[in-house]
Amino acid sequence: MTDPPRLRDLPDGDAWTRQLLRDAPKSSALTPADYARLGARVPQTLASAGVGAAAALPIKALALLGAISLGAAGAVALRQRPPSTATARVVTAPTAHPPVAVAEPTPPSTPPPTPVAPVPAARPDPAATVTPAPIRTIAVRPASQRARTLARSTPPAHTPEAPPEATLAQELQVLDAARAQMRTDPAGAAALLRDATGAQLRDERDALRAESLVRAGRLDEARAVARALTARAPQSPQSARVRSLLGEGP
Amino acid sequence: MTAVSLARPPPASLATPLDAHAVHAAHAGFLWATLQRLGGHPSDLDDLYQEVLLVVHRRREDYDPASPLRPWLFGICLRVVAAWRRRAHRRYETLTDTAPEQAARTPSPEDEAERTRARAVLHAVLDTLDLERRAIFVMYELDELPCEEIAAIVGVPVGTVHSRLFAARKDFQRAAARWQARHPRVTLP
Repeated sequence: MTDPPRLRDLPDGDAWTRQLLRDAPKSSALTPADYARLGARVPQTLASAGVGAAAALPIKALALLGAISLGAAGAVALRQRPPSTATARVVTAPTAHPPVAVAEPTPPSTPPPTPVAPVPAARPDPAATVTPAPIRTIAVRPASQRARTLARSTPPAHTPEAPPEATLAQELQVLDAARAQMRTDPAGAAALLRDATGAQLRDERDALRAESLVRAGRLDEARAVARALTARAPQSPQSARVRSLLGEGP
Repeated sequence: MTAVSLARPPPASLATPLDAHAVHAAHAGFLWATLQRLGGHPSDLDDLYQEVLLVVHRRREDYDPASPLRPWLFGICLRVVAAWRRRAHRRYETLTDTAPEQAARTPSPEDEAERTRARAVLHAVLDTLDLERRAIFVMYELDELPCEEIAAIVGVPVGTVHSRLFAARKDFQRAAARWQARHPRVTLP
């Protein structure tokens, strides 16, 4: 059966609907700036999965995680995977981080390890593979019953650490991405700046974030950010910038 | 099923196990488009995207590498957007009631502004549809994907896409009529 004609091409359809469909643009394609901006957040996003607590994600996102469960559609791709022989799992991290190999500390006859979040920041701890001494276990939220059982019996090969502070290059990338986004999506820019790490350009980020929040119409939040910035770095040119942005305030 | 799958085979690095970074590298465009097709609002897209990757990461052990990846990703996107909309229910209602009229009153004659207006009104109407029907409708009517491609994305036979598309069209026509009845003074060029 061939595809039907498109609704906007139907001559006998509703004229208003036809015009609506003809005028509306297609879904926006992902731009390189989008790709970079999204990629910059991924390490923190994944890190929050391993640590369990609310490190990087906004609270509303965490509430969502509780609500997301596999429905019927997801069952199509589900398959009970037999406990396979353990193989070394190589985690490929983004180019900004060194590649991390999660080495198996045990021989192949033992069950596969807990799927602890392969945080790019984690470095394989050689001591963990050698000593039989008890290794600190991390509170994780395993994806399945099987994983939960394994968490008790198999010590992890490494301990996930907090995500690393961003390098200067990464901080600059975040600023560029936020500036590119500011006119069309100030709320998104504000969120990007809020979640970014790095100590060297923190003032710049806060100033830009205050500006984004103003553009997004969230003046109270903008003032709070500006106040924190001017309190922390009163002499910084960034502080001067936000003072003029918001006018003199308490 | 004899339909040819148009899904690109996943890169070797995705064979086992599924890695969220690799999914981002290989499928960012697909996820971005899919979240929009499901009705993710522009200001939410970044957060929605991160949600999807997080779920991909948490559910990576559940993905069967023998099955096509895009339906699995599509399903995750759908559930993420559904959960998001439940959370933002009140906010979405406000947007659909006021934003399109405000957008429609924008006086600029430029093409870009007209398209923005049309998109705002269109989204108001589409927001009333069931998510999967909405996505299929958008993929076919706006993004002009062939039904075979849509079938490969959603993971159903082409015939199912056709029947869901027709159902989506009916829903859309009804919602469009309702919207026009509620906003009689808003006209499009």
